Amino acid sequence: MNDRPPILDRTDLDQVLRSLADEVLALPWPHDPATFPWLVGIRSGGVAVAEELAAMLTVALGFAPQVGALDITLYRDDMWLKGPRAAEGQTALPGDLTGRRVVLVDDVLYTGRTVRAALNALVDFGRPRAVALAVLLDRGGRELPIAADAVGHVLAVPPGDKIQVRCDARGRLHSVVQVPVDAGSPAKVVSP
Amino acid sequence: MLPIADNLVLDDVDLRGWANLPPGPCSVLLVGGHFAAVGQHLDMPGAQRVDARGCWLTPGLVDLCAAGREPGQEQDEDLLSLSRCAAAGGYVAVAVGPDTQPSNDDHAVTELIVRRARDIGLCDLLPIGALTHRLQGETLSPMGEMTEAGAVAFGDADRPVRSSRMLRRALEYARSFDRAVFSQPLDLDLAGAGAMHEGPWSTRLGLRGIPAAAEHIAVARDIAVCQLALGRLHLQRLSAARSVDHVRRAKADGIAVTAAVTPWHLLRTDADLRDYDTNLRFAAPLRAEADRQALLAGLRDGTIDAICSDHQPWSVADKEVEFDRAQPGAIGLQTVWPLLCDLVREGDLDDAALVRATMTMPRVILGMPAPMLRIGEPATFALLDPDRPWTLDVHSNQSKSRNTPVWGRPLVGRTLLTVYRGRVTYSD
Amino acid sequence: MNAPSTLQLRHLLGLEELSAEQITALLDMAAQMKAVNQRRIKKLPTLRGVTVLTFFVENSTRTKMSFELAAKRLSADTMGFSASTSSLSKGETLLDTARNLEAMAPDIVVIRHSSSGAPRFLSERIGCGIVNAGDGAHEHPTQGLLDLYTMRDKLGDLRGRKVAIIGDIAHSRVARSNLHGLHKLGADVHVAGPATMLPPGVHALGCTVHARVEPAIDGADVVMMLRIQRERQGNDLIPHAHEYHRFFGLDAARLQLAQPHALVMHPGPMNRGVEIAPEVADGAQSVILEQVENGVAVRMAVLYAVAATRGLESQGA
Repeated sequence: MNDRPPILDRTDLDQVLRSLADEVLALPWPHDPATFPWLVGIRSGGVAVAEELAAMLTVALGFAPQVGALDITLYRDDMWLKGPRAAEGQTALPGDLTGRRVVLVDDVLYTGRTVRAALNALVDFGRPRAVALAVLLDRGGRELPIAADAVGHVLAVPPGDKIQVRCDARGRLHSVVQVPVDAGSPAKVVSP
Repeated sequence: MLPIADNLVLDDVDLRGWANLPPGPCSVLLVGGHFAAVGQHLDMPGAQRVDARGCWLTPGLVDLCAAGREPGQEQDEDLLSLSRCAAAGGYVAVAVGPDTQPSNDDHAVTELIVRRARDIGLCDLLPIGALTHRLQGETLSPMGEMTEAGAVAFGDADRPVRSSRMLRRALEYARSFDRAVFSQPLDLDLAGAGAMHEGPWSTRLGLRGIPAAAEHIAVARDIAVCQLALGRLHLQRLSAARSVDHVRRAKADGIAVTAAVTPWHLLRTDADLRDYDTNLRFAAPLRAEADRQALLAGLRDGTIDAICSDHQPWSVADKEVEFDRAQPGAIGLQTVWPLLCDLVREGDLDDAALVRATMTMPRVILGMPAPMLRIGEPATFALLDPDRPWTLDVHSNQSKSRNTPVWGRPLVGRTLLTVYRGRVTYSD
Repeated sequence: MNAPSTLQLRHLLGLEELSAEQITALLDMAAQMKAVNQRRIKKLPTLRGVTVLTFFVENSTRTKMSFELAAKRLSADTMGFSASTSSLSKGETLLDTARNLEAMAPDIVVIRHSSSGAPRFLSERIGCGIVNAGDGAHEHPTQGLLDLYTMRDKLGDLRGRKVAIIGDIAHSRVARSNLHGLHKLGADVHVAGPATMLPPGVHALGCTVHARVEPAIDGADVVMMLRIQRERQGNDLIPHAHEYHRFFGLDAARLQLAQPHALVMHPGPMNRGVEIAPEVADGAQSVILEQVENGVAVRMAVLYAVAATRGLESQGA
């Protein structure tokens, strides 16, 4: 499965990230270090995106946005389908959430269920002033009334196909692979 | 299904357990429920011929220890269902314990059991009278009157006689009526509220243990008291290796002691309690593998005389409960034969020991005559197949209870036909 | 998505039947739960619509509260049924009572019972997830897990760590669960107590046995004291509490034998001045109250694992 050719390589991803950064900067929020939104990546796929997005925004803004991570394992709605699963990691927010603006960051936006869970998880840590959603890739196929505020790239993917955003050994985004729905056994490993 | 005809020839059947005939294959002719001829190439016009090769023609098994539950607990078993279990298990005589309600500590109860046995007519039901009033170990029961009424031995069922003095008097008094005392050896103080053998498994399972010493201390005491009283002692169900040692030495010393064991103790150990199966809880608990091996060795060398069914029917309410609240015991009359066949197949027991322990010695201990195959007399026998598979389930079970660890499990070794005083009491 | 999760758990009857991987997975999940317990909003929506029934046939207010709090923090509905209010005392069998409870359709039954094996008995007969909250002298797996959690939290990897468990090993389900758990996680376990309280064959559970406490405590990373039940004092196990304290209790002098960083643990409730001296119970090395706190997190992890496994199985997956 690892030798499947990527639909986006690292060069493409640079461009996608740049587009995403531009859209985040276009959000109608002030660009000052004190109030600039936290970039909170949804574990596990959103964390690498949030970090790279932060790096890119640092260049444009002249200061580093604060980055956090949100674990949504215990907020998912598929426990009855998939059974218990280990958490991806601890939730780590830069500080007290109440009154802050937040950009939730994820790698792929598909059904919208992950974002629904993330919103519920987030508000259990406080009352943010505003929340926006930034995704590296929007592949369509929404099952909930959820839309992204910032999108790096839009993909047309048949329903059921898997879009895997892969990272390299240092956790940097590496490539995006599309696995057709009929590719045999379901994908087991997300990062190479 | 074996056809039952008035005239029947069993060809190549293996004779086992008859006092007047050597073991070995031959043909047997039955006419109208009577033995008509024994020999080779028997023929009789119109007789049903059955190829009985590999099957045993025995005088029938005799049991030393079964709970009839009648009078008093007929919901769990009664003497009719008990007799049916016996017949289906190849038994022709069963000693029934005194632990009824009221207990059999009076000639009236003894007479009731004898009369019921006669009415039912499926096997001998031989009452064991209580040793002491209400099995309390304090006052001697009227053994004379009970002997007159038909009691074949005296004992307090599961209950050990706590007082050595009382045991002495009981052994002495029973001697006056030429009866053995059936004892369940256990030091009650040491046993405490134990529910299983004390050892690594009781520690692991968190159940209170009954140390092996609680039994063999009592065995040693019972033997010493028996020697003092010049009585006849039968130890009902042994479980511990050292108990076997004590019995072996006592026999060498010429003390009149006999001992029995159940098939469960020959097949299972305390490790089998890992699932908390209450059907494996016994008054004499399943013990360690070394104990099991010692019991088998004792059986092979004749130290242990007999194998008893220890048939203990209990209702669901007594067994489908927490392990430490469950009544001890399992039903057993129908499964002694297949379980012992397993032991023979595994090489733990030979045919001769099996015959001795289930047919010969129980008759000796109960004072019954040695079994003879006599031409012209009404036949009493059991035709047993060591290799036939079957399952104890709702169809085959004859007991009112179903508390057994082998419920629904495949068994190998089955009764084909039981005949008691010329009448078929069971046929497969 | 993943291979069958190591968190899958149909029932929690004891630590004996869990693998080291399963125990570790539960402890990891407990860490997640503990973070929730430190938030302002101490609640997760995870077990919405799940009913947890606590069925205590033996009194234990603390364990029951801990389970109820754990269930509530996961948004489960809880009901309590205890022996004092139950019909068990009126001669109803455990099975009848359990079937009555089952008719109320709980997803999980948390059971505390004085008979060893009672949770297993129920797990084979009713269709709920069963969590053992202590059965006789058999196991108390959530106590074992919270003890392991506390040790791992303070000491890291438990491999090779010396853990001394002291007191009435024979009658302690806490000791058994800890023995199984610690053995699986590779700790070096030593038990000690008066020989009347050391059951036969306990070494087979993977520990070194001492009849005196000093060699067990010597160099230990953890000293876990077990509660001496009042009814065991002055009978045939120990003469009286005072003598027990002198020879088998944990005081400051004996604690000196352990590592300087050694943890002092106790499953509670403590008998001060019997198995543990007050200055040790309240001392800097005591993690006794953290054990209580961790108990909620561990029980949340267990309830989550059992409920989600049940959910998975109800899907026929």
